[in-house]
Amino acid sequence: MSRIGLAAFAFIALFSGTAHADEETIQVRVQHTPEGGKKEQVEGVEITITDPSGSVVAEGVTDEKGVARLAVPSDGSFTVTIDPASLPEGLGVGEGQESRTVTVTAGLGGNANFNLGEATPKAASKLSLLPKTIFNGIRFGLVIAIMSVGLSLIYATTGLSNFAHGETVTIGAVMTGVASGWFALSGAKGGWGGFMQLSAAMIIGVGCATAFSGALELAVWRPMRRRGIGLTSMMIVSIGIAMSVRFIIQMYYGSQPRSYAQFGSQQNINFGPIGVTPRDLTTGIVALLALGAVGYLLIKTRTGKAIRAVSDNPDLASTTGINTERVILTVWLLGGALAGLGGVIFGLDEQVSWNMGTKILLLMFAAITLGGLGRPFGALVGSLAVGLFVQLWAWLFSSYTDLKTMGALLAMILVLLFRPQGILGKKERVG
Amino acid sequence: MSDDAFADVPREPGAAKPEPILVADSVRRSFGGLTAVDVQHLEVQRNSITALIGPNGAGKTTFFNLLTGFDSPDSGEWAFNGTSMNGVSPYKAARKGMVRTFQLTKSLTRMSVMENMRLGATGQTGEKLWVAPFKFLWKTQEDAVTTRAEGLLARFKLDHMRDEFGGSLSGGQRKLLEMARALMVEPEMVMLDEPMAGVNPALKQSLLEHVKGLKDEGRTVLFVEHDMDMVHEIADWVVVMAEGQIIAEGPPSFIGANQAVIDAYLGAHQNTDLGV
Amino acid sequence: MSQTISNGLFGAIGVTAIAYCLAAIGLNVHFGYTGLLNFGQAGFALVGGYAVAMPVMNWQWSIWATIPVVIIASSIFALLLGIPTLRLRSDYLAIVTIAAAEILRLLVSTPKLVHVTGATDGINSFTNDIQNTIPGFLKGKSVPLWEKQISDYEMWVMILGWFLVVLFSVGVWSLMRSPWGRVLRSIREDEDAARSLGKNVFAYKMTSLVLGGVIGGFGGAILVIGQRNASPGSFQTQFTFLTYAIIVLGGVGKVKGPIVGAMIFWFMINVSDNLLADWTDGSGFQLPTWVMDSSNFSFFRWILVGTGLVLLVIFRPQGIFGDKREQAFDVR
Repeated sequence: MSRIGLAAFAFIALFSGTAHADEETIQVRVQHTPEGGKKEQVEGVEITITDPSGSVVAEGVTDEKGVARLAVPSDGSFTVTIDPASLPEGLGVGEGQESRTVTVTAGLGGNANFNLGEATPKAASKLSLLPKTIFNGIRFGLVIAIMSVGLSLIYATTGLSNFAHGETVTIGAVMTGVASGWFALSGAKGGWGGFMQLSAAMIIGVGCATAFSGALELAVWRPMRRRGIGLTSMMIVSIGIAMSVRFIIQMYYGSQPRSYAQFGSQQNINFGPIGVTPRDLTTGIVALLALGAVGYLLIKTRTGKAIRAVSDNPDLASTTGINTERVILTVWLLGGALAGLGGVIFGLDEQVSWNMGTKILLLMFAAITLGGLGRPFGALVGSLAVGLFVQLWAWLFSSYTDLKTMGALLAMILVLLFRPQGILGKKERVG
Repeated sequence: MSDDAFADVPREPGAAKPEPILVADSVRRSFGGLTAVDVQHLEVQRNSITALIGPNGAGKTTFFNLLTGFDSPDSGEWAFNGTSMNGVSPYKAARKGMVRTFQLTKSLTRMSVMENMRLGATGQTGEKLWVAPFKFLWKTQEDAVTTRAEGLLARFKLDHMRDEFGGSLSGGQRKLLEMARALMVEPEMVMLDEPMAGVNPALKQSLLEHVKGLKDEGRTVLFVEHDMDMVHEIADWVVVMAEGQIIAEGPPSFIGANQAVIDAYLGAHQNTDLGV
Repeated sequence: MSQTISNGLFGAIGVTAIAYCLAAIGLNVHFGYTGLLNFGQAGFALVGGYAVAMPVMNWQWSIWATIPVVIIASSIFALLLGIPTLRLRSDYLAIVTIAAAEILRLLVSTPKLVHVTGATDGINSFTNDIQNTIPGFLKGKSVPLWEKQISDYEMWVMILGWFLVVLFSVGVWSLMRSPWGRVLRSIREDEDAARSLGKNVFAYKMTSLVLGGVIGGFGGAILVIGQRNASPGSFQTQFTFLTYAIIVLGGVGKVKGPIVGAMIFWFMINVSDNLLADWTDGSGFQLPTWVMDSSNFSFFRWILVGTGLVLLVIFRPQGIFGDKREQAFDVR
């Protein structure tokens, strides 16, 4: 029915309501209170009233006062529904809030008040959110990639699945947070000053992560390799280290997640359908630059070639005069630095907490498994896949966003079922 | 079985044998762009000792892996005792009578020598989950297996090591244990991947005797070897592989003088003693 | 002090120790005897725990009728994990099992399923059948353990739990001395060798995964019954790691390993918790507050566990009582 037709119908209904004694009136009021502003009446909202059997008994449109008075044939209970499509742009009703049951008392009528909120993703066209979702997915993928390149390189060169890698991430983020706290005492919040403060703090945080990773190699992994201790033992040791370090952080940093002092919420800059905060844009660029640098290092430099040679075959590499131990130390340092950097970006995206690394570790493992265990560039591909998958899941199943991590893990298991070597992995050579 | 069996066999790659136990056709396997194995036709004579030789990287071990199901080929057909073995998993290949050993010995280090041996016996009812908890159901069979294992250990002069862990054996003893364990399966064909690698000279001679003994028991032996002295001493027939293909076949004396073989070896490593 | 020791002793034989001991017996079948890197024992325990709680709450089953559900559900979980991974390198099983355990935990935590799983609060009040079957000689009494009083319900669950521990330990012992157990150990040592001798390695690994998973499922069942609550918080990744710590402590690949390990582990956890609480409570001997205070001392136990695990694996991989030659994992 056209809008004019509806209005006419409502008009007739309004007046005819007084004509019959049996009829009762439901007064529907639609309003909206902007954040920190005054209550506003919403005009032109289409309303439908149905009786318990589901048949429509009245239709109408709100007037300039946001009110529609609709006649119903008797007292009893009715369902009042507003049409979300008729709402002004930018406004929406929560899921399941668009209809409610009204009890009409004989002689008194009934009331239904609708308080609108900001448009939810559901109210806006889902498809229009797709570009933003993909953008977020790639961004999240890049963050996972930065963290997991180290995990993957460590696996490729030493064969170790390092469960303490999540703690390296946490250390980077937490130490940056602690250092930014010292700097924030000097005042600047947000803007250029805040950016400089956080950058300085980040150098300290990333330095700590690098030192942690390198120290573990020198103090634990290298001696264990020399003693000929097997990989399974080393994996369990990495779990023990992860546990100790995680709870040391919890003891002294606390259980409460915190944000970096310099950056709270920011306004979006819009690029077509994609709105992005300057903070997210900057970290996205930093992530891309870091990954580009790693790619260049692996492909073009002597060190990178040595790393790839050791990944392919450590024994062969050492017979060709490559100092395997040095390459492995480089990988631990590089992996630590990248994990720390990833931690800072992840901390900016969400919050800095004592168990943030543990939470993301499984996604990192999923990423490198998806990409093909031991393939450094596989980690990048796998990470992008995981990042996209997590965001697309949240977009597709918007009422199941708490399960988005689950979706990514499920996807990994399914991929393994059909392509065990991962996306970029080579087929296993037996014997 | 005498060496006469090979009297009428032409000395050329892919030669037909009077009584083949294993026949392979067009078996190909490539890794990336590299073709590791490309065998057009091969027959292995029943109850003979056949050596598979060739320079490093000739694809001998890969070919072994393909035949025993440890790797799957890109294409090809092969049959053991007339049964097609394509896509047959390694454990089934072993049950059908093709039992292999490995280049790097796989002695089970934290199991005793006796446990290693017992493991080899097939058809043990005690290996079924529902039978296992009840010792009286498998005790008799276990005793029979143990007796047989003791006999084999004595033959391979490992009986004094019976209760030692597999890991405490020397390299040569491990080779012996692996061969003895393979015999517990009672295979028709034994496939030995470099049985002499890393074995000290004192043990070599006894290993050679054991391999010859396998033939005397009526078994077929196919072995990969680098040691040309050993090939000369025990092989009835030699198959030469290079770059994945079979380039020559013939009795040991013929192979030593074959130009294609010399070229293949000289191309790969100049100083190999061909024992000519 | 005697209070502390009593609490420690209760920890060693209490419901938590029993639950972790059962999970460890199962993990020992996987890791200790077969060499399977199962990092999702928490998932098996979760399946077992919810297999008990959900039918009772949602469909008013008798709790005893859920015993087959525990077995079937854990077996199905094992099959689902095993099919994609048991033909691949061992690392894949590790990643997939840890991921699958997390998937289950997230699934039962989601508010959307609150009517079925109770979401993060979990399921309560499913233990009436246990309460009602407390035998007469226990009913209404509390059993003293030195200075610690054990309630009749706790005591009854402990009796049931230790019965299961003995049952499964005897079962595992009789299996592992058999030719069947020999095949499992050969797979742990070198699965290609087992294959070359005609053993169907995949089938044995799968059987091992199912068997250890079912035992782990009973661990979860005892845990939720003892806590009278089945909630996702009990089955975090941590659960699996503690189980590893327990079998490394007691001795990997030994029948008594999980029992010895679980008892020592929970004794030490309880004693250290009690001591630290005592040393931060503001009276008597006190630790400096910059080291720890009453708000954060409880995290210290996990630091201790982590460090202990590292030191054990490096310096005593055979467990505290083991013989070096008997160390059952990963020498090479």
